[in-house]
Amino acid sequence: MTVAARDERPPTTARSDAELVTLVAGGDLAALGGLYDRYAAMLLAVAYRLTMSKADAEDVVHDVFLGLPEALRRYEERGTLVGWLKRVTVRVALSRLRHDEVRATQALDASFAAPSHDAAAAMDLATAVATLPPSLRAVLVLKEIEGYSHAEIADMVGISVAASKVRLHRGLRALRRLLEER
Amino acid sequence: MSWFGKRDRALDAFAEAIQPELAALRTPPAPAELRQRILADRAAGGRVILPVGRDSSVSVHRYVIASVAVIAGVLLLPLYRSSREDAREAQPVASLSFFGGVAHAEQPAGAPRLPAAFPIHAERIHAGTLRYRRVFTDSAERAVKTVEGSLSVTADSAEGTPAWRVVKLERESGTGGAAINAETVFVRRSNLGLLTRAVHVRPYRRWNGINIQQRAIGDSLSGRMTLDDVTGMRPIARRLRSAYAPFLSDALTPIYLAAVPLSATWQGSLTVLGWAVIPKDVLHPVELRVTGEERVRVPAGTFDCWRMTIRYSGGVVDYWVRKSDGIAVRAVEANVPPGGKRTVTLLSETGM
Repeated sequence: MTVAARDERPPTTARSDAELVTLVAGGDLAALGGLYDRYAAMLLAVAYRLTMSKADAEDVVHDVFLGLPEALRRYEERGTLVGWLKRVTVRVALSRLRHDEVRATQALDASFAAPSHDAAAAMDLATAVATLPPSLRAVLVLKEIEGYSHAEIADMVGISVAASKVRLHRGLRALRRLLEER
Repeated sequence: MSWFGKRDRALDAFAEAIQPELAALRTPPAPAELRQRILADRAAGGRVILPVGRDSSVSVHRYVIASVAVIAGVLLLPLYRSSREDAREAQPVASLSFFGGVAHAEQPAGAPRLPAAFPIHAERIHAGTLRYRRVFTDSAERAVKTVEGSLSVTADSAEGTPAWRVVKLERESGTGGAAINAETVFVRRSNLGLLTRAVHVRPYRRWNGINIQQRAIGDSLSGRMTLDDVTGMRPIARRLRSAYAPFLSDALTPIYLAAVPLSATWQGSLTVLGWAVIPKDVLHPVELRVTGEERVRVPAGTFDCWRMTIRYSGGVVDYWVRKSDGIAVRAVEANVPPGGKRTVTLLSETGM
């Protein structure tokens, strides 16, 4: 028999998040690929904004998806899946930043830094964001781009709410100063 | 930004103005190569423990609880630090009751040399209870430690699957029952495949006790380890490489060979699962060979047995199982450090 048996299962694109979660938790690789197709771009964006490095962001997303089957077995379905995935990604990215904090400068990938309508200005902003110390950039990105509250940021970063507010203040001041110097 | 007392209106305006531009920063697309790498790594056994935190919904109660926790934390900081360090520093390794002692080797590479000892006659397993004794003797044949144990097999179900619930309970003599080693395992009745497993050992090294919880799904073994009276846990996430199947937990070993068709020339391999908290304690491959036939007398009776040799990473065990039903009746391991011997004998049985 040369023709392989046809897979009668519905494609992962037709499955709900809940169905994919159940399948992935059971070790289904196709479902894991389905979750990647659905959410990887968004998670990569989160990871990239935190690390400002394409390679680091891809490593973060790689680790997140590699650990998803086991992690989803502890997923309690409080809140949305996308919110949970983002928080996990943020935590992995922050963990990576903490380990890599010795790196003085970030390898900013210019091809992703510039929006087409105002390349020079956006490059300046992206470079300035990448120049910020990781501890300040993390709070700035999580608050001003991802829209988390200071309480949520404090929880994810492992600092107090007051420290989160202080870091945002310092991050904004540093960003303004960097942009003014250019 | 009013939390500094002096409001920085210019910085507020800057933040408001910069926010759309920050949100518009371009980010890289998710490449297909990354998808392929993830799936390939996963298929090859790659695993990552993710920092899955608690739900971060905020409430007044949380602040109250947090305040109390901060006060308690300050008071208990020295103890807390010690506990956290304990949980991280613990390097727990399973000890095996029947197929050897503690396996020290690194995890195996390649594949087993002998054919897999699959339980093709799982229907031969029955409910019942075994009682046995394990005695450690020194080089002068003096008993230095005696453990009384029981193994009960009960028909049950787990997650809707017909299962055997196997409970091993061992108590060390002379400790007033304080030192125990308990293991509860649920295995599928159809093929003895592991479903869930819980282990409690008390005391464990310098801790009051250790708890291992495992669950097998597909080719993954996941779970957690906790220490009694110690904050924190360590997650378990390991791949069970199919080349090393079948996998069984220590509690199942005295009855497992009942489901395997033994003969005078039989030989096979299987893998005893470790606690899987640390990398070197996940898979403990075992080679089994029938080397002869002997009549063996133990407190439970006199039985015609297959004599077997069991090789594991820590040494060699002489092992006798009944020819009639494959139940283990005796095991002897020589050269147990420091120069002693370990003997396991069947004391009595009910329903087997």
